[in-house]
Amino acid sequence: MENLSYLVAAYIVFWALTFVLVFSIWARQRRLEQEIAALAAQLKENEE
Amino acid sequence: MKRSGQDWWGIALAVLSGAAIVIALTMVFVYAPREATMGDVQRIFYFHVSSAWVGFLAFFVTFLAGIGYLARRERRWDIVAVSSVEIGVTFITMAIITGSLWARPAWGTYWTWEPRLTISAVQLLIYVSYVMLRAAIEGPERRARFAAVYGIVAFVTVPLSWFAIRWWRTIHPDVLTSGEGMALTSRMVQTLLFSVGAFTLLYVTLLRQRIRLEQATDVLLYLRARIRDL
Amino acid sequence: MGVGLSLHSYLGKVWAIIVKDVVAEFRTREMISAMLVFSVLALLIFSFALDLRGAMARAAAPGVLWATVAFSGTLGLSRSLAREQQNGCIDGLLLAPMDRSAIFFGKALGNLAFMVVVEIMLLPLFSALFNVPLLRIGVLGVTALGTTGYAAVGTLLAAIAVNTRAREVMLPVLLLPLVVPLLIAAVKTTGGLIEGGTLAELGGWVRLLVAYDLIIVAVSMLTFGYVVEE
Repeated sequence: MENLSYLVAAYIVFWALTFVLVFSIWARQRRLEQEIAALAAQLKENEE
Repeated sequence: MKRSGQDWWGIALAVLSGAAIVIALTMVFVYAPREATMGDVQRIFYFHVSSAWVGFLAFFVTFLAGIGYLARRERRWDIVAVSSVEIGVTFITMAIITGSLWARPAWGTYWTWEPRLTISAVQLLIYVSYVMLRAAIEGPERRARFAAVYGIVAFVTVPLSWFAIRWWRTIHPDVLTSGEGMALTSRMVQTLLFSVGAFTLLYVTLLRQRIRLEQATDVLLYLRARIRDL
Repeated sequence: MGVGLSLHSYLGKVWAIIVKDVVAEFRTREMISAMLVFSVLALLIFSFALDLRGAMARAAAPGVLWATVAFSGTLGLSRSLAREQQNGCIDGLLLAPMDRSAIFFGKALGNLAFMVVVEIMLLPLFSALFNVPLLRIGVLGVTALGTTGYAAVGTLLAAIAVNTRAREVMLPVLLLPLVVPLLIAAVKTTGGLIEGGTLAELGGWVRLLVAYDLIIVAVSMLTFGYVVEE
């Protein structure tokens, strides 16, 4: 059935959007944690 | 502030929802029967409805979080609201795209004003307005407060929109909207229910991660302020 | 607090706000004339763009009417709240929590009055241009119902919009997705009445209009205080 391309496309969309969301959250989390660590270290330095 | 160790709950939830999605996919492609009129393309239906459900659920959570914020004025309610919106936007978009991909083989057109697609479009527009509102306000307190009010009023109109759109479409039934045109068997219902459950679990997992991200942002802003004050 | 507060003084406050707004507008009439001119221009543009003549004009009339009301309404709403902000009147009015709902009703009823004035001038012109009988009790009633809901939620959202970076531009973005059920119901009812339908047949739509109005007025009134509380 030629309609299968729509079926495949739909599930690709599901995976793509889910992946984009998950990756986006993960990437931002990582960047934030790095910056937090850097700032925390800087603060510690200044307090010593 | 939590000590950064292993996030056991996060890992457990991720594994559970991952497994649930895999099982759901198996049910969709193997367990659920081939539909009589439409054939295999009908299998889009399960994840299409599930994503529409999560889009709505996320909006409801934002609504509740808005009420919570106005009542308690604590940042954590606002964190839930903004986190839920981001996930809701993703799933509503998914619902619209998959619905469109289903409409084309089923009815010959990429867009139809069928109730579920239309209400998803309306919700997406409201989500976008919510995000634009937050972006246009300075001051976190005001942003949280205004967003809470808008989230509440906006959500209240959604059931009303739903009824209006349904009646609008049933008064002039065209081929497009006379029912789904599907012969639903019990296996299909089970698959649908399980998919909805798997998606809900996925939503909870993603919400939790997004909340943690927002909390980390708060920590960062706090640290920056501390450094500025040195 | 609240001991001497009677219904009489509450209504007195509401009335005072309405009078203040109406008198201020009456002096210059700039807002109403802008809304009227805009509405007429919108009618013309719809007529040209959709090539509305004869039967098509009659069929499109309810939709064009309500689209025009929806768009020109945003003009009046933003103007009304912006004026309030300019004069700093609201700060003077914020004496007690009870007063906030009075402010809401005062502003909303004032906005409703302005919209109704514009509609009164618009409807005869519309009837003539589109050759539809709009000056009937039924249609006037539906117009009043629809405008009421619109004015209520519009007043709330205008109060929010005026406090954002984008200001007036924000209002249509916030408002239009929320009035979808109102517009659908109003268009359907108006169209049905033009075609000679009875109120009994259109009962469902009218009930939806009334439900929308009741719910939206309640929610807007309850949340308005949170918007202006500073």
